[in-house]
Amino acid sequence: MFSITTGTSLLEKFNPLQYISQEEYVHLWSKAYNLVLSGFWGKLMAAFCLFGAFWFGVYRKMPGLGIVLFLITVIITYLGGVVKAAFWWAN
Amino acid sequence: MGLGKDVPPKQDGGIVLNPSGAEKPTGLLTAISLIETYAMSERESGSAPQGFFTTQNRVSFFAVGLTGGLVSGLIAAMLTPIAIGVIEKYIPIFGSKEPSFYDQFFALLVSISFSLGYALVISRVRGDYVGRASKSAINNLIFGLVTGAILKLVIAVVAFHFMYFIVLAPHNIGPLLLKLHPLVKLPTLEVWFQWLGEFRHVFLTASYLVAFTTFLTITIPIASIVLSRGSRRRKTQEEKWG
Repeated sequence: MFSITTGTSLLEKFNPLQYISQEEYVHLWSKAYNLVLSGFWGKLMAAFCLFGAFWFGVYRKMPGLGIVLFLITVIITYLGGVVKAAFWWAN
Repeated sequence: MGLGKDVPPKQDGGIVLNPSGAEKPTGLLTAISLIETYAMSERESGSAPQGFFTTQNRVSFFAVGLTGGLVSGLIAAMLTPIAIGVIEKYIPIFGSKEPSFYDQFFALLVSISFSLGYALVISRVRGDYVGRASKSAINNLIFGLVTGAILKLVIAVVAFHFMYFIVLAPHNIGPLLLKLHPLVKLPTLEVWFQWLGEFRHVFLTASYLVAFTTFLTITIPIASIVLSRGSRRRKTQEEKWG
């Protein structure tokens, strides 16, 4: 039978710090940040998304997908700076 | 269906347009689909009758162009100061405050992409400028786009000048930032004050760049239709001469 105690212990299993240290966890996220929002891979993904926005939005006449890809392009391009600014402000 | 004189009818019949009049477009895609349908019918059966394309149809095609021109332009206008901020190294791109030439070009490309894409979608109807109904629909759609783009330009130029001369003027932004004091520390507010003071001139540059992108948005569909008409006439003449 489900009880609050078992529910809490179940939720604890979702806590990533149960499996890795806080340092490793921060390192993981900073690696993900470097991979997606900055550097070569970020630029490549943003370029692909912008190309896809034109390809689907203009050539294939799928404006919904075109707009979504354009939004992803904007997010990849500028979110890195926003995250840096947020960390700068928090510190 | 009665026949106009713009396009001669084909002998083997063709698709008949809805006799109760043209349909009302609800968005850009429906407007383009309707134009394609009119053009196909007019190629097959000759130009639509005089009263087929009513004033209400003209207004609805105009409204679709106006809304699209205004909305796509405002999105581009919002991204323009950010792109100039990247070029002048005030705003980081891809997490870096030292943008390469590619980064600067990409920021500029992103800022004009939405308007450019919208103009390219509209210019896809260039091949359908054939009969009375399709010509009228395209003319009204593009007239709406031009009006929307000019309206956007006026809104953007006024808003950017308002930002430079009023909102971000040092005597206004200082007291405004100080209201955040209990929430934000004073050294942080000082950094923000300096950054905004240096950044504010970007809005003036942006208002003139927006004028350039507006020119592009207007020119692309009009030029593509004019060029397409020219090449179609040349082709017809070549066919005539054998």
